[in-house]
Amino acid sequence: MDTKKPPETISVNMTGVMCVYSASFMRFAWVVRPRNLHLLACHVTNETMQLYQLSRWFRAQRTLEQNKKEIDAE
Amino acid sequence: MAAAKLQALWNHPAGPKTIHFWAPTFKWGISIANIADFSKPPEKLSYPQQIAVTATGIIWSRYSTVITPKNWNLFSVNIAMAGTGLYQLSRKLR
Repeated sequence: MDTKKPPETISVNMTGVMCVYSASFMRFAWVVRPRNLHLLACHVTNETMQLYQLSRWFRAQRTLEQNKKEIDAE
Repeated sequence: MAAAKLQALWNHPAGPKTIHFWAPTFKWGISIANIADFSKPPEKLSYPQQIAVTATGIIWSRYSTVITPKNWNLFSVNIAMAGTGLYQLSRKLR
């Protein structure tokens, strides 16, 4: 879904926060009694996706800066 | 008296020494990020993400009242999440 959208549409605020939140709930799911492995799996998945989105955003930013340098050099 | 209250809070089964406290606290970041995004143009908002934020807020509000120990921090953060998610969706739909 969102992984198909262009990287410029990624909200870096939301994505960064989601990484932190998902990591903390991975811990929560493990500690809560009874252990909630389903919840853990959900947040592992979420963490993976958010990190991927973040990497796409960073890559896009670097590309933009690269292009800007090339334009300035002309 | 105040010291005893703080002591009880500190040692609560869902208090600051446990992940039961910190996980919902980090979750506040989602609502704060969403509020920060209120100033962004609606076209940039993601339908799937905001629907997920809203739905998860509603579901988790219920969850936090039925688990033991009851987690009012988790409850309030999810109410806020549902609220900010709904607002973002209303901006997107308009």
